[in-house]
Amino acid sequence: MGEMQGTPITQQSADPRAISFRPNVVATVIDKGAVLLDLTSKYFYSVNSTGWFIVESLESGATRRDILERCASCGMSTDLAASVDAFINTLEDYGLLDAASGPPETCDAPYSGEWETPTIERHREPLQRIMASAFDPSLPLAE
Amino acid sequence: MIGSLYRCGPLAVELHVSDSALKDKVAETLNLYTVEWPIAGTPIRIEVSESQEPASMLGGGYLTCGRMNVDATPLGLAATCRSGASCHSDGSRKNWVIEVPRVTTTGETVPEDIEDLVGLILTTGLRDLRWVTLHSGCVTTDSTCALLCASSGGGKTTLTAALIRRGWKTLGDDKLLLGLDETGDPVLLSLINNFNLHPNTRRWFPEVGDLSVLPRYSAWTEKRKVRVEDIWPESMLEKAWPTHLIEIHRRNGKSGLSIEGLDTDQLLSVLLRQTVIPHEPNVAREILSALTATAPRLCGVKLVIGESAYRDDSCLAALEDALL
Repeated sequence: MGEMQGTPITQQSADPRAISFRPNVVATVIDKGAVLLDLTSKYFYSVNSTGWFIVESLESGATRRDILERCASCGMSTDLAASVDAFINTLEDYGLLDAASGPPETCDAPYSGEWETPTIERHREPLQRIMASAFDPSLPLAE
Repeated sequence: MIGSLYRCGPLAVELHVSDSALKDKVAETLNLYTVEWPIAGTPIRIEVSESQEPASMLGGGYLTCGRMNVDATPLGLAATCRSGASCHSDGSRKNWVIEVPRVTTTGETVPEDIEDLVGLILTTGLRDLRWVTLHSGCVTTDSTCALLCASSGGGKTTLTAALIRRGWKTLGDDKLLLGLDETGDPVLLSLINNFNLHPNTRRWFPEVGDLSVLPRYSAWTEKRKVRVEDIWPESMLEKAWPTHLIEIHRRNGKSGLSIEGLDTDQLLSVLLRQTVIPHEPNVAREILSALTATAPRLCGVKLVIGESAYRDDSCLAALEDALL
């Protein structure tokens, strides 16, 4: 791992592909982080504040290097660059990411507070895929 | 056709249908939403007509239910049911047509599926007004307002009734609206002042009488629809601000109850399972946003309750102590 002009470089940050969240992944901010819901799998996830900062970059598409640059500009020390890659790898493993459909867009959302390792936790059970009715999310009764 | 008007919470539904049997069935569902809101309703128009052929089932890309699949199209929403009944809206999702085939695939003259279609129309209208529909009960007293969460048949109504008998009030047993008020605080509103009670409820609460003489609420359940105030006068409220969430686990054949706390993640998980989230990102995001804003405001409790506890004052007092 080395540095060039203050931006931490990792092996994976050399990947030029822009990535973004799949359109069916929705996110909402909570205190100290965010909740993500994958409408396809119905799994939902909790991310901490630094995780949300990275998620925001991915909502409009970004390369891994773009994300590392943003994180470094907000106080991330170079020895935490691998944790950012690991976080993005986990998003990919959960099937939340896809190749960005267009050129990446600059994300200017600020980050405040002390930088910490980004985390994501998938909640154990997904939400119901088949509902009893438009009002009732329970499992339909067998007929 | 002259339209009939029905007030369903914040919606004003105008129904146009010439066939009396179909009208009765649609009206039966619309008349469930008996709580009158003191505001001018947002107009929704439903036209019901007969179709020549049963509709084929759609893919369910927007919503998949046990007997109904819903797709979102550029023209609006469209739904089909197993009986071949269907509905579709225009782009505003305020004007709907329900079509009932002369010969249904299920052999029914007036299919039960009409209730599902009307439910879709109403929940769509409610979501467009930024309400989150909750399949939960609610009880409130003094400064405590608890959401009661359990699957269908899981004990929401029974616990609601048990607490009403101890002086609590209710906003309903299985259909509520959640919104954020002008100060950003979560608020609950009532839609229905009926309970769906199983005839067996009598063994806990003899005042409900013999419910088996009433017609079944639907073909899929033994429960009967009863007006809450007829059994427990002055027990209904229309609005409350939630403070607690109770996740109910009923244990048949057991006695007593146990209470333990839910952490924030567990509470959010329970809350997310109280509503239907369509597979449409903009709609889902609104719902998720309201629920994640609500969860941190609630104190969560997991309640494991045996059958005998509903009539056991010491058990119910223990539950009240945990909430108050």
